[in-house]
Amino acid sequence: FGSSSIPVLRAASPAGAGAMSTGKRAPSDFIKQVLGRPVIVKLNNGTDYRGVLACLDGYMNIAMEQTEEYVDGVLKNKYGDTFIRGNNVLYISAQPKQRRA
Amino acid sequence: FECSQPPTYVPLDVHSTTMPVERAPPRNGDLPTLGANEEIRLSEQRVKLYAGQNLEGEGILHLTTRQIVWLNSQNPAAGYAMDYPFVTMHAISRDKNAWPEHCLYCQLREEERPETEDDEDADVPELRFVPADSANLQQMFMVFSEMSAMNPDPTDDQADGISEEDDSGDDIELPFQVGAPMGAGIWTADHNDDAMADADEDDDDHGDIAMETETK
Repeated sequence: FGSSSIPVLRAASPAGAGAMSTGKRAPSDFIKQVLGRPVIVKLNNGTDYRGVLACLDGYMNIAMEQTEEYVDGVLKNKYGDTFIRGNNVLYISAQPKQRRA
Repeated sequence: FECSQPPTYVPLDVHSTTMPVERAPPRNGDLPTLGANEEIRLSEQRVKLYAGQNLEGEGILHLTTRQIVWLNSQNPAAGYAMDYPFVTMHAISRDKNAWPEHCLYCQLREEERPETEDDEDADVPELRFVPADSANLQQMFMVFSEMSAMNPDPTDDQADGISEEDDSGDDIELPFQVGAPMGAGIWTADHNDDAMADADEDDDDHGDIAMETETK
């Protein structure tokens, strides 16, 4: 595998969306890296949701598992599967790798 | 019911913008009155509905391609109907500390309405659908998610590119290419085992992405 050949990125999803990976980071790279990982989802109204990112679509609709809801930094609720409509999402961030026990 | 016809994206009707929650949804017995191209995707019997802390009653929950309709079984004139964009978040709640019964929790969009029901929280309106059979919660959640994804916000700029003929989403210009929202063509952790691998900061390491080069 020479570096001169253009790698074909095959997503495992049925869409088969392809993208040329030339080393540039695209949002899709970030998404792929956080799938199945703990994330923080911040809503426009300031609420935080922390959980494991299950899936995400082009509207930033987010499905998560093992979700915790934080309001003003205070844990308010816990949910199993969660779905958040994308228009309410301010950002998604990966959680820091070191877990605070 | 024309179940074979694929649902299409239809602009929201007037009722959704002027009155986000319809408290007397048109119904035909136990079924909601459906609009054109609207079909029921899930019906769950014996579902209690709590609005905030108030028990509204027990009824039947229908998830259609356009709206969420709960029809009160005890009061044929009462119910709740709302469009999916009105529900900002929904989740399966099994935390007994938060609510004693397993339920489908829904957080509603905060509206600046002059008339605020006393039974709704001052902060965020909440609904809880408590099915008699909590084993169905997973299915309820999944269909709800699918329908929600199929009904993007009409004010969203990203919605401009939607083809009205199918919801494959191919016509939408997005930062990353995905197919139909939530139905197919999305990245899920289940289908992307490589995504679960440790991500290296190194750009050269493609270990977390399945790749094939054209030249074998």
